[in-house]
Amino acid sequence: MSPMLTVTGAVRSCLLLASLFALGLKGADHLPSLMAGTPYGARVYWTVADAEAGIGSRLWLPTSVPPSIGWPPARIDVWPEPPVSVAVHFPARAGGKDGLILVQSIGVRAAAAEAILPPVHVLMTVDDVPLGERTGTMTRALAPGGQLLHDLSWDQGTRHLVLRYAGPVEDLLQVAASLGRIRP
Amino acid sequence: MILALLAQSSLYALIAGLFVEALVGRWRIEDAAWRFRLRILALVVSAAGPPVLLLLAPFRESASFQVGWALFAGERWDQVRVGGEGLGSLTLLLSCGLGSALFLRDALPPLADALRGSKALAEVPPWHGARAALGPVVAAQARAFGVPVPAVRVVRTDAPVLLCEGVRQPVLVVSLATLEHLSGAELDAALAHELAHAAHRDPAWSYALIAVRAALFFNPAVQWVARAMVDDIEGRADQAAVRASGGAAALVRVIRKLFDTDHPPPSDGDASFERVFWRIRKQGVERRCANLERSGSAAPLLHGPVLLATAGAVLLSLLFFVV
Repeated sequence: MSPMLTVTGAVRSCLLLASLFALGLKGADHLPSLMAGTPYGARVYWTVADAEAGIGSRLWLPTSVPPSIGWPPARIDVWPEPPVSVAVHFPARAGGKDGLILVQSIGVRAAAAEAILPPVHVLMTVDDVPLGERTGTMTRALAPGGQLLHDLSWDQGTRHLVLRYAGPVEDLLQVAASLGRIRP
Repeated sequence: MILALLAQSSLYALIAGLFVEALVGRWRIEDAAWRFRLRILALVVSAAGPPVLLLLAPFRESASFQVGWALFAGERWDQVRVGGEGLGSLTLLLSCGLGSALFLRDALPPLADALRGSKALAEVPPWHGARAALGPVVAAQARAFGVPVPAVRVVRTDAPVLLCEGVRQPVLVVSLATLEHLSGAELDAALAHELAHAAHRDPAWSYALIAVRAALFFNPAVQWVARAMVDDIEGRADQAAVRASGGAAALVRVIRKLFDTDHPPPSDGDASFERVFWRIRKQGVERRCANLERSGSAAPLLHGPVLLATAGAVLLSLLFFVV
């Protein structure tokens, strides 16, 4: 040890080093989300079976999707903090970004965490949109990139569901109706 | 669960190893004994940290801890896909391969020797002059180190042999060839080095290190830290010998002389890899000699226990937030 280094100095440099390590670790912890384009803090699954095993609950999935949307889901983000919410990303057949996102809370009717359903700039909201035996809320909004999209949200059983889609509203209603017919 | 513990052990060893190396550099620790103790800290944390924290703080596995408190969560790296597989899992696989290779590189040669059943070296008879000449020198050195006088085996072999063996009762093994090559001062320095090994129970430490390496064979950072600790063991004996003999010159001559006698430079006809290996070994010896000439006996670390405790507490606090 350098003869000039006192105990206080050595402890200080140890704490400084630990702080640098902590900063480095926190930075490195954000890298996977940045590299994969996934929300930080979410658990990411690549198959429905893995996601269902991870959360210990069945996911509600539509029985039909528009022709422009691919199947199976490309990615499933789970926000693990209560209330647990899940975002199922369906790919657009044309390639590129998500075509359709289905978000559902698990076990309790609650809004999804912002991390897995990013906020959008709301242009217009319509309540009491008929969805078979239920009613929902339709929102027309602008995504941060300027893309026009629609959110359709409603409560079903113990879950709060949101569908986000950039295509025609008719397609969105059909997907929502198919969700009403599936396994409870 | 087992895979998660393996991954966490590898991660802890890497962080602990880097942290300790950074501390050694930052605190400019030249005393090999304290470098050794700090590296033990890194090994203990890697081996015991994951299961102990799992037992004592199971809430660290919870989602809220990982989202809100964790500095680093290894499983997040599986979000990055390479060829359909998670990058975290691939890294763990590669890391296990690297760790195993590092372990086997050091474990296979002695294991092969043991399987071949290497013949015990023939000892000189009790009335041989070399044994009588060594006795008083070893006894005086042992008194200086404050250790019981170890048994001495003098063996007949053309190769220079000088080592300390025996886990419970240290035994010095010296070959006649060694005695022929070394002058009086050099022999004093060499014996002081071996007695320092005996005083620190280094043969037992060596076996303990091999056991830890075997148990954590999959962990490359553990292999790396354990190899550094072997160097520390030698450095600690070197520094003790320098303190005992009053200077580094004699010991440096011994190290060079024994290496040159046992490893003559390869001829042009030898395979190129033999020449490369010889050059690497020679560079290692020269590095060791340069360190000895530069730092000599190295002053003991001031307030070592306080600093060791601080390093341990800070390292554990840091790793608590790594899941």
